[in-house]
Amino acid sequence: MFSPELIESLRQKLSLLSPSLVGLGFELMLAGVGLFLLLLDVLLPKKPVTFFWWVATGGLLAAGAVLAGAHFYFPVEETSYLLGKMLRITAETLYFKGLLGISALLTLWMLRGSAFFHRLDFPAGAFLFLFLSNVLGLSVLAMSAHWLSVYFSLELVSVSAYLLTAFHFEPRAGEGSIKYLLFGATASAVMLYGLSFLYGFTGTLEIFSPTFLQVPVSKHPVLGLVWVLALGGLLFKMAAFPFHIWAPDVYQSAPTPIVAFFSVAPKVVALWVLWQIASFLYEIEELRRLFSLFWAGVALLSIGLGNFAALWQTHLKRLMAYSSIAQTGFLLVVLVVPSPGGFSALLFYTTVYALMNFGLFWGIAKMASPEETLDCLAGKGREQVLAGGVLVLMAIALVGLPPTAGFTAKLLIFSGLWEAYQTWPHPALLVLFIFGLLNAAVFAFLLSQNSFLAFFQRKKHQRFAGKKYLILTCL
Amino acid sequence: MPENVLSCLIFLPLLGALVLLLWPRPVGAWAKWLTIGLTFGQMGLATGLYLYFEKGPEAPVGVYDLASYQFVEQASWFEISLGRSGRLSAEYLLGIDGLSVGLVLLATIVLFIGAVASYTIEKLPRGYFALYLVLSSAIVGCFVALDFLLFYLFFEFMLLPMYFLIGIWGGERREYAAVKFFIYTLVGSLLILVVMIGLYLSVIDPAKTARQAGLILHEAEASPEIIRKVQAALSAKKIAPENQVYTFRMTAMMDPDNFAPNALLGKSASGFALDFRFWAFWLLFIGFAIKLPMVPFHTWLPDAHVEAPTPVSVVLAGILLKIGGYGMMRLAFPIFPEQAQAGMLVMGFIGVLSILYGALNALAMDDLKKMVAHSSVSHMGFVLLGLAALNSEGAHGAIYQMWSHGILSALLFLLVGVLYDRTHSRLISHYRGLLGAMPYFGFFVMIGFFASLGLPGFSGFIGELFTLLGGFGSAGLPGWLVAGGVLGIVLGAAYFLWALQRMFLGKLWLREASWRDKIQDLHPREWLMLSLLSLLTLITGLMPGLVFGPMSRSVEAWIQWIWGT
Amino acid sequence: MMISLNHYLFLAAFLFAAGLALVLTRRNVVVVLMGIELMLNAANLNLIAFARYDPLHLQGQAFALFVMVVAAAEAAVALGILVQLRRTYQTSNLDEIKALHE
Repeated sequence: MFSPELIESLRQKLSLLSPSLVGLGFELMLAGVGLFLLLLDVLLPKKPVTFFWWVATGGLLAAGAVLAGAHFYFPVEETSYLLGKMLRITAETLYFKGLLGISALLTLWMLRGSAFFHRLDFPAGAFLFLFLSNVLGLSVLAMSAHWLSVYFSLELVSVSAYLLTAFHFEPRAGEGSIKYLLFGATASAVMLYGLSFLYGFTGTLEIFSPTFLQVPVSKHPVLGLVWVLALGGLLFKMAAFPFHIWAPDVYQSAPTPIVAFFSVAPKVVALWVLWQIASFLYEIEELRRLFSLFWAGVALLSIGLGNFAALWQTHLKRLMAYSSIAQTGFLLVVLVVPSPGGFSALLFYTTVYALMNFGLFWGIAKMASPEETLDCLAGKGREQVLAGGVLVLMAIALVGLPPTAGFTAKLLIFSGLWEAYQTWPHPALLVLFIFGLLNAAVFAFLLSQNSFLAFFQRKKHQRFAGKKYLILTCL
Repeated sequence: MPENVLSCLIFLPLLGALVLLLWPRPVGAWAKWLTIGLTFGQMGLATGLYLYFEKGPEAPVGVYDLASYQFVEQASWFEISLGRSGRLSAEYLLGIDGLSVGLVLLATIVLFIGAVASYTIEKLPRGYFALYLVLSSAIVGCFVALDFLLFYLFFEFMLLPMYFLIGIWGGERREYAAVKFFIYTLVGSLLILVVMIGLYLSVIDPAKTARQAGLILHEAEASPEIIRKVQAALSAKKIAPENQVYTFRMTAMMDPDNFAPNALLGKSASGFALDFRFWAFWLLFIGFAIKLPMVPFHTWLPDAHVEAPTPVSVVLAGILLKIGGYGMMRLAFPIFPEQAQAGMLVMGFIGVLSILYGALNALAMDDLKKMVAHSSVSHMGFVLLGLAALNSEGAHGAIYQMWSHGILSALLFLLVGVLYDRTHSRLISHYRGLLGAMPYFGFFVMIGFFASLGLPGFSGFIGELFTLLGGFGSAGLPGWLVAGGVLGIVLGAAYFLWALQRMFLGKLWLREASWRDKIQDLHPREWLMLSLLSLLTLITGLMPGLVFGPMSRSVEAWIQWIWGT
Repeated sequence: MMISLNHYLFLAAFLFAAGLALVLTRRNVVVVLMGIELMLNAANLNLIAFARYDPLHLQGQAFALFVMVVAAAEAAVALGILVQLRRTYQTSNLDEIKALHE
């Protein structure tokens, strides 16, 4: 029935698959553990939350071990492709996957300390399954080399994120979730529409295909717009301007550990994908200039809008949402100059950024009372010195003050920007350089409102006067 | 003196802060004694520095020449590759010259006085003293760092301890004052950061670049010839970008030959729509002017002073402000000498404006502490006037004025604190005829006031005299402008004497009758602090050579450097 | 009349614009979801139309299939959340669902 040729060709195809299996070990483990948890959740009459937690954590650790193993399998200096040309793996990709794994572990650790997680009726298995799917999607996204895998993994991340947001068992959580979903679905539709035109212009959907470089932008001005549309999905995941609108509602309604994860992992991974695309496109001078300006503009608007909108917030997590929009802007500055120096800045900044955010949210989760208004932190730092200290330290680092790593990161990024300006003196870059640095003052004011408040006893005192004052200074 | 005395100066208090923070049980009274002891040790070390510092006509000059700095400590901090665009090197580089030696001594004296004045702090002692110690190490670090990044690190590091010291231990509106202080100083330091990034990406370290380019094996082997060769090759664009080692070293930034040919801040950079050196100089200037503080960036100062507890006010007025003036001398002027020359008139104008505006404000104040705070603005205006004169008298006067104001403002804020501790009111109109009730207090107030208004024999006189002499002798400043500064002295005399008359002369009258039992004369601790400061202002007023001596050579060299002769 | 590529593109553009208009102007969650479906279908139409010119494979057609599957999953999730929302808010009008913000 089976001819020897057929069997031989099948064997060949299987042998092609085997590196894919090693490369996808992390993802396969995650999927397995997630499905196992879902099954347990359905089958077990009682919900042993701690057991579920240990299964998820153990699974994640094992997946991490597989990931570490993959380091030895894939040579450092080489690019390997998996599943045809859908995914690709480099040493840097593995690094970002590792960062993702660490973020996931930190989130799980924060979850274990949260009150809602231990409630009796909480479907912990399903929750953890969704969380692991989110991690899985991000991990595939980090490896994507084809627009299909970008779209597919983005959707996996998005759908699980909608549900994670709704999982708070509060009526308001559903509201954040549906707004997130409607906005997210629109963003992905926009992205798809842009993608379809990219496909039309080049005849391929492989991201790193040289044909993308051969279509001259000057002849097809639409192409620039199409690119922007196509990148919209990633910008949405990063909460960058103008795809940032969902962030405050979602941050407010989702559980704090999940917010911490949202504020780190999707941004870091999306930034990594964008960086790959940017450094690929920047080989063509014309595209480089166009995109430099585009990223400079998005970064500038994200920073400005996030910081200034945050000034008016009274809810702690809404404030964090806006300041995280501003942080996205700072992250995007890396894209303006994808030089080798810029890459080390990217690695350094994303790592530090992840740690800073988890520290910050950990401090908030420890100290904030359930209503999560700004004032609820007042004076808490004196009762919980450790959490308060961590909060202040992370806030300082996020502002980018020395002697924290946040300062070093910002120094590296803005040095790169200055270098870019020295070679190509476009005013937009200078504006970004100055405005970006000076915005640290606004940002410092914001964080001084919540984190430093923790050590002062009085509430609300003089806040508004200070705000007006600050805006005057900025203008 | 031991080799690493400057490191000791910086890290001694930091060590103390660590001990305080990590102490497992609640800290007792020993915390304040530890702080006093450590700051005293710091002061002792700084006195030793001052004594062993090479003075005299043959002394090494420092300023632009790293080899002639004294007590230099140099170690590589980090050096990383930026890929195609070169390498980045930062150093742990400390050293002092004539410009900084006096200020280091001043800083440690004021910090010691502040520590003694902190004796009465009862609220959260562990936090207070730990922050105080961190602050004192950052301040000293600022004065001795010769690497811009290191300087900036210390500069920013002062911010947070100060913020918390005002925000937690301050008065009624402390949060507001703390945030205002924080934002103002942060904006200032961000301006400095902008310039710092621009500068270090423009400036290479010739010795390290030679090593990187393979001319020598180790950077210590770099001879002057090698350095000249590297600089020539640099301007001829013969050094590959990846071999250029960018540096934060201040002295390297002063040498125009070290600027990469395509650098925006380089001397030859032209053809751009913006004159970057112009903007860089003024950004640095504003950054330091906020700290100094100069009108119109001074409004944080009265708020911060009024809300801060007495010892913090002492430190703030006594040294923190000096870092603004020091930064201009150390960084802004010698790195951008041609901009400094071009800006003399503007800077002189801002200086005189601050003198007059501060004095007029002080005249209008009923709160004694606010009056002293505004008088600080006025007195620091003399510093800027002296610097703007860009001549020897002016620069001497500026540093001397910093020294003198450090001592005097510490004295004045302590005196305000003495009164406030007793009655919790600082309003001038609440008191009359205090001299009879508190004769010794009145005595020290008179010393403080007379010294501040420029009575000959005290240090204030010398500082103001020299800055004005410098101003009148300067080619770039018109006489009428400097005469405005003289008017400032007259106004100064007016507000000090008027306050003295209102508060101390006449028949004793107090707003509340119950205060009568509270207004006891000075404690021994207050005696100690006040007499130490009074002695210092008297001695240096009578023998200005003590301050002028060590700085002369460096100041002369500084002036020559700026005029390019 | 030959139906050319442009016809497909114009139809898709019209669908996309109509969908976007629905999303932006209508406040009912279900109608907004329908608008999003229209936008997705516009993209699908483009992909399939372009796939004819794909020299190698039919990547566009495969992509369109994936889009349909994912869209269905997304709609399921959306309707699930909507059911829960209707229980608390008694409405599916976006303007009336606004307990957050304050």
